[in-house]
Amino acid sequence: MKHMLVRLHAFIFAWRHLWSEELVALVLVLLVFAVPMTSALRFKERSLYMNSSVPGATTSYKVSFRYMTPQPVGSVDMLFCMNPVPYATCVTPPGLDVSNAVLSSQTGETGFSILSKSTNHIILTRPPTLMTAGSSSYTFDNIVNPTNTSEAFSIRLRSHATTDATGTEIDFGSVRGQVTDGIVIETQVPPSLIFCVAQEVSDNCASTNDTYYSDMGTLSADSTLTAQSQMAVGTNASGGFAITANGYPLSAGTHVIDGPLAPTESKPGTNQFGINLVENSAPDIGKDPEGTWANAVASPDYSQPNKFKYVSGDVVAFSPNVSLMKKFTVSYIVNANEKLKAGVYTTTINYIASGRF
Amino acid sequence: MYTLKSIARRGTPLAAVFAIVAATLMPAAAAFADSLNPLTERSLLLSSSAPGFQDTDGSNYSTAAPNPAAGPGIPGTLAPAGSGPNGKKSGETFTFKTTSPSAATKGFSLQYCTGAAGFCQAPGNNTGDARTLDDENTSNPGYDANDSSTWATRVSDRESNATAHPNGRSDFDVVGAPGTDWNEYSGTGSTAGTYEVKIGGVLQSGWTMTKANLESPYYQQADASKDNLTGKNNYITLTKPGATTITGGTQVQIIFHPSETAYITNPGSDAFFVKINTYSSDTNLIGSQNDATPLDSSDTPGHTVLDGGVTVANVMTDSIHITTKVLETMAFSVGTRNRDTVDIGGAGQTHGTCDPIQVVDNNRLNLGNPSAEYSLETRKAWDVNSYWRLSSNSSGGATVYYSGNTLANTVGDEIADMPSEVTSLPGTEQFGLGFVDAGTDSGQDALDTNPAVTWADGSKAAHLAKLRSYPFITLSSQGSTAPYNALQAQSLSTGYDEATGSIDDGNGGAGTAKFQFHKSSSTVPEPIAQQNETVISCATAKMRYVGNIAADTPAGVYTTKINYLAAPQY
Repeated sequence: MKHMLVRLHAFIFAWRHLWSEELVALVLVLLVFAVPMTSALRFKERSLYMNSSVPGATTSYKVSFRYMTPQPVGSVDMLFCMNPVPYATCVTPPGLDVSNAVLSSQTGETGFSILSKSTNHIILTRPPTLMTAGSSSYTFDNIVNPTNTSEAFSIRLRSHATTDATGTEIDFGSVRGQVTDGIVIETQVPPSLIFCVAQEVSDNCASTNDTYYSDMGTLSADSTLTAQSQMAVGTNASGGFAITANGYPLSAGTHVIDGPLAPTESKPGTNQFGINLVENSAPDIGKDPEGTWANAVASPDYSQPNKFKYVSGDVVAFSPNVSLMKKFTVSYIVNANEKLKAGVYTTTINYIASGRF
Repeated sequence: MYTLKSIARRGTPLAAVFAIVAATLMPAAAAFADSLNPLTERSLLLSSSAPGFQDTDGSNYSTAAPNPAAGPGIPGTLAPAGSGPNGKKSGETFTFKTTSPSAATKGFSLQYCTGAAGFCQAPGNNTGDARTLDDENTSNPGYDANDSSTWATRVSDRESNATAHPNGRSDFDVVGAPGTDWNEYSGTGSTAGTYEVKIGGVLQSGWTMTKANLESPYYQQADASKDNLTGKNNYITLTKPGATTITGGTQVQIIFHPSETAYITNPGSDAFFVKINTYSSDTNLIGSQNDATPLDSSDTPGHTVLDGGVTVANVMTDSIHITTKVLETMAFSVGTRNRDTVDIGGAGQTHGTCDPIQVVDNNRLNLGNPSAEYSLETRKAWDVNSYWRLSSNSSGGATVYYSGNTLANTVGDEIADMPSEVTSLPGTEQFGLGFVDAGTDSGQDALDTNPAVTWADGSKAAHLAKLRSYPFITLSSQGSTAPYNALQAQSLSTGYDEATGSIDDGNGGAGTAKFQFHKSSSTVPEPIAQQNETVISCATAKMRYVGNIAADTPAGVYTTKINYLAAPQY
């Protein structure tokens, strides 16, 4: 026991050379007074507005707060961490990157610029200025969102009198934000194509006269035989529709009345079989397309009044995009010269409407 | 070791001597104080035991220097007059029982002194001496130590409380003018700045309060620096001309309720004693305890004291300051399934009070006719739902936004958004959203029916009662119902608060539910819920989306992604 006391005394005696009672007292006094010196106030009205909450998205952040202590502020420190605790180890939110941040706007206490920035740290600086406005906001562009959707992240805020965020903090506080998975909504709009053909059809294909045959009469070199049919079409295909006319020209066995390869006027006395989809005066036949959808039109070669053409497989009408219910009237003309072989000339024309979905 | 033994050997008898002397003197002092009929069961309850120079709360805010952020819902200080931390503006409650049988009582006196008996020095530790007669100047002609009229005059140099408080010193004082700042409590209204006399628990009326300084110029201590007088008000009387009969053993209470202008200031340190007397006179309150000059010949013969006693209180030199930090919190979850509706397995499993909303199938929702590959129809509307849940300790509330495009296909075709709140109308291109009730406990919102599961809220019913969007007002029907009706109007939700109801009439006509959606939110998020009043314990919102197409809506697969953002304001 005595030995232990002796060693204790020797130990204390040795330390007294370095730490006298006066020095210890001075340290204690400094500790007492140091606490009030560092008692900063908490920023008020703190908020973080993220322009996008998409994980990993590049977006803009608006950090708002109100300065509380009426002291000149020269810098604002913004540290992005998972935890808002000021003195806890800062874990950078996974995926976050503010190293390319740009201070795009500021309100309230202004005059700041970015002094330095890294993956999770921004320091704003300005010449130390006494505050005139309390509520302030700072908007940063080009910030890459974190990717962790299960937990909020924090921005630890501190203001300093110095221009480089060193020394005693004036005000402090934190704001929090969180990225979230968006709600994905998926649906379909079903494709539709409405098409009808007959001698007469209604505008919306609700009805036809169920007549698909036309006897054009007896050919002669002095006159033109005519006939007409109608077709209506509508589709929600985003690429519109195309109608092709398919079938051999009028023929009787091996004798054929060919159609002009280019739009041509009706010429009695020549062998001609042609069609168009507009109103004509020579001969007086046909109608212009009917309906409000201006984007559904007859093809250029088949939309010239008094000029006719027929090439099997040609697109005779189309629309470049969605077109609801347009009615076309197809005019048919047949001319023949006097040397045309006798016979019964017939043809079957098939119209095929295709949607471009 | 020798020194320790020496101290122990010599200290033990010394301590014993002190104990014997103290035990001898204390009963004597009490006997002196209660020389007449004693008041029994005496007590003094201070509203604050903080020293008189303290009037700040834990954040150092006071009435004089309030929180600069003070405003609606934010007090300027948490240490108003009469509160625990405020020793500058305190109140007091005296309780005692009389012993005189059926005493006709017309007065009470309360004298605050540093000692229980003898000459009175008012409590306080300001510097200076308030004496106007110099008891130490023995050179004055005709000086007689027992006759203050022979003493030389002097000028008081006692420090005022206004000067002393910033320096951590304070004298006991009764502040506020009786009749102006101090008034008798009528039994109704605010008690601030009032006093009460209760006899047998019954509030009395007609009692008049006075205050004065009543210290003895003969007060002396061996250490002359400690016998200074304060000159402050340390004597309170309450009188009533008509006698009030108090039966012996009846409890009497005298209460002083402080206000910002009428209050009692504690001394800066140490204990103080209050000498309490009851009197048979309302004009001549005479008793040995409150006679400032008992050694002179000016006393009126005959005491009017009925009962007397002393009570004691102590002023703590420092309050207990407890500081902690509540850090910012935020939990925001967005998903398609409320976890409370999921059977989590029964026994041993608990549904938490605010479990995150679940993400199912990557939050993908199919909108449309399930029998037709979830396609929309021109004569029928279709809807789907999602949820978000927010909790945050942000005292300034929070704002919730949505962000996203309307339904669009890959070639740029879009289903029109709903720029204003309108009903769902089949045959018209529409995509919109709105709030519906998440706590219906039916359909897809039916809570877990497993009887073996436990609920952190205590019961399923208790949990269901909390399954709501409060403090966000998200439904038009909520504004007038509790607890929402205590909130301020929340205009940002009014365009989205009528999505409850039918989305079509079954025949291709309009429904009753209304929706809205801005495709501009894709670049500028659209706020849909905002409240700035309170923290958010656990707000659960259910979103309803509607889709309608027209006949000419281009065919294709349409998708959109709606993101929700929460911005708490701390």
